[in-house]
Amino acid sequence: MQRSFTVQLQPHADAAVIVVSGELDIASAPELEQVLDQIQPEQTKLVIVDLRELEFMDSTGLSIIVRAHQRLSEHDCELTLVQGPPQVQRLLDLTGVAERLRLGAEPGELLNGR
Amino acid sequence: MDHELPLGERILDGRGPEFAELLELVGEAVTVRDRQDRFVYANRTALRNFGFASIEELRAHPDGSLLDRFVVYDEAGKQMGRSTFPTPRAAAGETQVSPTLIHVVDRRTGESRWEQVRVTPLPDRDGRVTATVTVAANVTAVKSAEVHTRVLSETGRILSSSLDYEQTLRNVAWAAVPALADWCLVELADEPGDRRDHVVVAHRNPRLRDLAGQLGELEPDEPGEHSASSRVIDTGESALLVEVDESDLIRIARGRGQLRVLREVGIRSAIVVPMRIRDRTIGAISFYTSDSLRRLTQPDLELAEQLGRRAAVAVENSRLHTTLAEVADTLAQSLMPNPLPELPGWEIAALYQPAVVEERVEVGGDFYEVFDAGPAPLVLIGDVTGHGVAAATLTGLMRHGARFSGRLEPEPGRVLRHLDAELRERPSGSMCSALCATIHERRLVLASAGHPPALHLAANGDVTEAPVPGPLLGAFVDSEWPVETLAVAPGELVLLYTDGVTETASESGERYGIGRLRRFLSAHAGTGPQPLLDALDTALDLFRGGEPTDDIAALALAPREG
Repeated sequence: MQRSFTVQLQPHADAAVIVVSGELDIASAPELEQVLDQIQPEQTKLVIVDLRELEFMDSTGLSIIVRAHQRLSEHDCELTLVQGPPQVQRLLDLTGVAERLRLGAEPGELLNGR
Repeated sequence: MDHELPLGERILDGRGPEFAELLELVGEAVTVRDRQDRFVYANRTALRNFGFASIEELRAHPDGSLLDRFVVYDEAGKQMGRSTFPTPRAAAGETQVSPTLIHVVDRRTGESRWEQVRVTPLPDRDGRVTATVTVAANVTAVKSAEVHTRVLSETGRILSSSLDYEQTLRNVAWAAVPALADWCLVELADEPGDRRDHVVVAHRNPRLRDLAGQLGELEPDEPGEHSASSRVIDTGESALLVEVDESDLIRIARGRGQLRVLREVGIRSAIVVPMRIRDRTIGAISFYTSDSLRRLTQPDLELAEQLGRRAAVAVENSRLHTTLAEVADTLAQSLMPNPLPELPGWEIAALYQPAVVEERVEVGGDFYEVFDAGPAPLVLIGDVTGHGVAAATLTGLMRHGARFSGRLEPEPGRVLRHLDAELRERPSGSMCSALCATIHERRLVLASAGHPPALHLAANGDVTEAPVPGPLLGAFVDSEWPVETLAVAPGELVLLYTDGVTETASESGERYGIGRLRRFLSAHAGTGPQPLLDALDTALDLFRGGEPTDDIAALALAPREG
């Protein structure tokens, strides 16, 4: 049972966009954590994590995102999410993350929202 | 015979050799015996080995086999009788007596030597054996080196074969028996010079082993009385007693009780070595010879000291390992769910399956707790993010935190709030999903912190979810967890579960999912809590096709009829 996960950091003028794909779970969460740790809130005021290519996310994967949100918001840097498939959305709804973080259907929507 | 010139020159001059004279000079023991195994001839080496001044004296000795003077062992250490010696076998007509390795111990002096013995029968014209020629080569040096190498290499293997403390101590004791010693005593002291806290005995004779085993239990006559081994533990210096006499026995023993046992078990020769790790002595090993009558020598001491050093490392490793394993087991036990209490008016059952990673059960992040909080029983189920010990310790915090706050304020939203505050103070940044409920007569009051809602199964198979979850514990400031009330009638059931259930993956990577779980419940309407969870366990096993790779926890509650 081989599961794939990739994470890419795409710097834009106005935001850091992180694209994740595949299965974000306890095994792959550290990879995302490493990328999120690289973000300097002094340089970027907006982080967009694009969940559209995700196939699955578990609570550990989610906690990595929430923890990054906690760290960045202390420095006035906003972490936002591009909505993923139903299972991922259910987890966001279930955990109150959907209420607390700004969500969008695509990255442009989140950029314009500022 | 021309005796004016030395033998070598006479031979070179072509006037020799005189073979009888040559035989006197060689290092091998050469003997010729007649058909009745009586000595006809013995060269100088043979006479010296046997301890006689002349051939006449040897021939006059009443015991022709010399077994009154020597004990003989075969290569495996088994005592040999006269009939198994090579010379009598050849004299009896056995034609193919192969060279034999024997270990000869002088009963009087305890000196021992290894000999390679070859016998050549001398037949008469009819082919009957009239005499035998026996040549015994002393191979003690080679054989001792071989034994030492073997003992050391076997020791390495034996000592590294177990991380169990008790087993390692037994292995240490047996590493040198019988190759180096007849019996062996391992003593450990917690503090230098302190009373031994552990004694292990190895003895080739089981009866004497039991007897020697009493040594550890016998108290000294005077408190603080020192034995040979406690002196070695104190000083870190080893001791060799080549020939143990009565006064040595008294020094070896601690008190009269031990002295009596030591006399009965018997000690011919003794070596006591420290078990040292760097400059710390953790114990002593005593090597004794008794019934083999062998005397221990300086080379034996060197081997024993090497054994002592290796044993010390092995014992210390296993001691640390055993201590850590005990700590881990005790902690793991404390992290396992408590047995479910009796709840008046309700039936309750639990399913708890920690993840199996690399064939080991992991203590995971899933937990549940059911207890009577006073006005109403309280149920908590949850999942700390992450795995391993860090997550497991937080499950303890959540369970015990719920107990305390539930007793003070038995209201699910308040309990979650206290847990959130508690978790937030931890530096780890961990988060936790949890569902908390109080149990009342035919209704539950529930609050959820980012946890999958409870599933309510009606008698007709309808499945509904409750409550609407609030945020994850430890995630956001200023959170609230509103409560919802869920009525549950007899014949209905409520399932609380962790996401391990719905995230169970098949071999192809497909997840069990909420849809399957709802259909499973519908198909089991009217089933009691325990049979329902048994069926769920089986269904997940079948779906998964292997050991669980994530934790699973579930609780099923149903009000009793009447």
